[in-house]
Amino acid sequence: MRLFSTIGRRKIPAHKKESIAREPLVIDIQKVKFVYFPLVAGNNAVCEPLVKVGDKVKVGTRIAFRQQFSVPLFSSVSGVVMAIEKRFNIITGRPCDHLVIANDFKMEREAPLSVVALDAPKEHIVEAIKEAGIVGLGGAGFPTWIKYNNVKGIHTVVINAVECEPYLTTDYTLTKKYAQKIVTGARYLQKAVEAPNIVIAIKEHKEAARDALIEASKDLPEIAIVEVPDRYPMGWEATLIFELFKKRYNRLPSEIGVIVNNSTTAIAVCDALTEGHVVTERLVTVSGNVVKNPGNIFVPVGTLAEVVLKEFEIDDSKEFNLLPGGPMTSNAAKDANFALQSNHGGLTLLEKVKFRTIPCLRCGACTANCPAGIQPVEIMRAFEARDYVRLEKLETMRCVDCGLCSYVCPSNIEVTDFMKKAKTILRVNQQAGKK
Amino acid sequence: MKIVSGNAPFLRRPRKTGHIMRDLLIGLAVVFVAAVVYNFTLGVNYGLKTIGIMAVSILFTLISDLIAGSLRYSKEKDGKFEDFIVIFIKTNFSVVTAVIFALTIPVGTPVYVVAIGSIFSTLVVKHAFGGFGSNIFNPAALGRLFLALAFGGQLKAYLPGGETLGGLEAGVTVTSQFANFGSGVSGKFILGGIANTNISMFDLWLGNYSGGLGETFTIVILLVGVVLAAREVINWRTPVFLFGTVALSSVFIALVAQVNILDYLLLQFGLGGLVFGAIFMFTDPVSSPTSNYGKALIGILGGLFNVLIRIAGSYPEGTAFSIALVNVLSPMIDRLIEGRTDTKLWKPYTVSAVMVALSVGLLTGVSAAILPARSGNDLYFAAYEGSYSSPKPHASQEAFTSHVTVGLNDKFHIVHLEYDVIESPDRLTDAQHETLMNYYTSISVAEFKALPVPALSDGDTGTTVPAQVGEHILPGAIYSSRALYEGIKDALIDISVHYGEDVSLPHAGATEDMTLKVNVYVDDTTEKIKTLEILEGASTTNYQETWEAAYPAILEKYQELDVATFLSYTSDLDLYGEGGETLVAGVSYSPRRLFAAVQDALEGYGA
Repeated sequence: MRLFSTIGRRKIPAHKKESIAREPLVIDIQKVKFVYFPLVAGNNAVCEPLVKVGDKVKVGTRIAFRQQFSVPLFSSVSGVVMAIEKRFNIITGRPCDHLVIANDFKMEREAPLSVVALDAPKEHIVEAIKEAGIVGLGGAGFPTWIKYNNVKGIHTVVINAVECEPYLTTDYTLTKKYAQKIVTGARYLQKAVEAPNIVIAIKEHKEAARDALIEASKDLPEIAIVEVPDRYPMGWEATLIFELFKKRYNRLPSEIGVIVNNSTTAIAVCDALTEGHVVTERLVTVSGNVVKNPGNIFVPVGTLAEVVLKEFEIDDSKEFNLLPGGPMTSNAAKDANFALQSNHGGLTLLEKVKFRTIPCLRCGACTANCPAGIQPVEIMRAFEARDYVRLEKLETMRCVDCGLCSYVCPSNIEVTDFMKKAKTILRVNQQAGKK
Repeated sequence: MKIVSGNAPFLRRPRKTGHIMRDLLIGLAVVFVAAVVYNFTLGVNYGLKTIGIMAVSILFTLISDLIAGSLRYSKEKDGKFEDFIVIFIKTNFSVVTAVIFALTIPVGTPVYVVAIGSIFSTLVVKHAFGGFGSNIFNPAALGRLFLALAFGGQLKAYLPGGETLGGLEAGVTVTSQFANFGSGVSGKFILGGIANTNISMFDLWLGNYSGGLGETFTIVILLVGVVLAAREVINWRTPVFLFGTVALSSVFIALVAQVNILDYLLLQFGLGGLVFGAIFMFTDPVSSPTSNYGKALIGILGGLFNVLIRIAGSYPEGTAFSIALVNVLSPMIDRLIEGRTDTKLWKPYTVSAVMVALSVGLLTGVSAAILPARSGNDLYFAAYEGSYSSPKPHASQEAFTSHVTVGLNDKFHIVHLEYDVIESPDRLTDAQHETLMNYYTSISVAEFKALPVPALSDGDTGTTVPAQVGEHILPGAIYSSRALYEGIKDALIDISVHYGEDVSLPHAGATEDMTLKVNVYVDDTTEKIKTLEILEGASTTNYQETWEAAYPAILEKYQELDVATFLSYTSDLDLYGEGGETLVAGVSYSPRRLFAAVQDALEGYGA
């Protein structure tokens, strides 16, 4: 309880037990007939295809290249490039060109990339991360090498194994299994910026994963395993850093000397730099109150969601929302026809709940819980009045769509939706003003 | 697969507005039950009236909802009327307004007044401004205000025939009793004492008196408030900052007015609707700012306005007004709070601290300014008030009621006299007025008590009864003289005068006798000596000056002394303590003689 400031976090139901009850599955490769790779990335950056229709590819072949930030894309199966066709891109929310590869089920692998030793110069490490096309696997998909390129003054690399989003358990499962890889990956990242410390943050009450990490790092004094409270959104960068260091930053954590990366990203870094493997498959949590046997499943990158869903029993009698991710931040998909990319960690199927919105009570619960420290109810008011000056003063652009405002609203108001709309009109207005 | 769309997030907290309102209603129900129970102890008709007021309030609120819903209904948009109106009533939560409103009404209010107030608060204050979530003012508070202004006289705390019920005198609530010093005397809410009313401090906090239906049960309301705050139904910051500001200013006001701090604090919180308003009406989320910082600020402002109106305004009760004032400020406070809530925290801390300091300073300053001036000779040692209801002076004139305030110095001489009405119509000339006032302010209480009562001759104004004389009886204004006399007499009714003498020698080696004559004034309700009036013989002329310098300290030992305690002393040393013999060099006999004289005066007291 804070006197004046926002509490900034809240305990929300976790719904994680269901999906970790089973051992992770591996999808039968025979079922994945095609894989799809969108040629437009999350921030509308175009990827140029490096192969054409008819080319043969193997697992790990470079098939496309994104000029912005120099990110290569790799094939996740071996086979033949079938076509370039338009499909709905779940990340951008619009249809775009997709590279379609027909699976020949042989899973022949390309030669691995060159390995990099741990004591290599930091430029080599960053270059290797860039070559491997590693992006943030916590969901954002930001090219990792950019974060570590030419940065100074970093004292801690934080590995985020918190996974605060309900229903998702991929980070937890992989942490239990590959704690050693996380530690190795973290050390590479540490070397890349010459940071003296590493902190691996994990949520409390996850003893199996925590113990695995402690075991893996027991001979390394510069690594600290820190348990953080079970609150949403503890996995968000700003909240996590405030919890660990009691400091706030303006736009990037490097302002206060910290870099954060997801634990699965750290595993990818370890794989790429010690064995030359790129990310070609992904652990996905399929869960939700409509799925009768939830669990984790390894699927090749680019698999269609409907192919993955066929592996699970779904209660078809009810209407449900299909979420490519967790229930708090994901936007619902229209159908299961989209392809899963490397940063998709889950498919959550939740029964549709109808509720009636009543007028705003002005209770201030949204403001009191906002992790970004802004005032959603005031932003809603300014949005309805189209008051752009006030929207800017209220620092609307700080909103990260965490969803806590809508979660706590007792009047069932779609506060997060209003926030997104407010950000959109403000952005348009600012750009129009610049012309 | 039946995939449908929706908006993120897809998890929602189970607690909704309906649950908040339900918890609030449960809290209010607890207070209402206390009100019903108390009223049934006053009489079955009181208990039934209480339930009746609540029922009428809820009923007419529902009717207002129906009216407003019908006006809003549009066939094209809203579908079937029956479905629409049910949802409209359910989502407007007007029943909470009705219950809070009913709990602020005293039990003697006529039913039609309650109905009008209920319709006003729901239809005008709530629906006319946009319905639930859009009202600027707290509907219950403004409804109560409207009744106080339009039907003030009918908001009685008793039913017909029960004028002296629940610790009351006719026509007043405990709060106005406390504050009523008569018109023209300032410092009402500061100097008023619980002794002015007929109830004890414990009763005050328990609610064993009559005021608004639910306002009186301070302890119950505070407990309910704690539970509601813990369940996040109301925000704790507003009441806590409000109570803090009120408490802090009360401490300083009590210091300035030189009254007992703890007593004044307990009174400030126990009287009137402060606690009820703070827990149920100030915390209304719709009319409060949305941020925690804003809610704290209106707590501070609410405390400031409340105490300010109490001590400096004409109404004995400031809660409803301060709620309305604070509601007006809420949108502005919202507007001024920009940016993030997790950085630059020095701003809210500084601003709220400064505002509390300013409020306390302002209130202390105002109370210091309005307290009766204490200057030089005109020392108000004590003040008493009384009233008198006169019959019609003449068939063509009206009966009237006078309220009189008497200010006494420490010798219990009348030094100050105020009254509001002593004649009807205005018949007293300026000269006559001056004569009366000059006369009364020249005598002592003992002399007053020896005056004959001005008798009235039948039906004729202005005729003195033959053989009745006195400077306080004015021919031509006999009813007025009578009224003033009776008013003062009523004011001083609890003071008894005891005359005592001591014939011992004034000092060692005195050659002549000098009887010490003293009047002892005792307050019969508390059985304490109020003060002494030495008539003559305390000291010889040579030692007069020394005696007068020493006298105040000696007098202090008698003031507020319990009579029984005094009579139990066997020697003056018991009163003066060791060294009393040489209490004052050169006049050591006088304190002893005074002691003996007072003992003589009070002998047989209470027998």
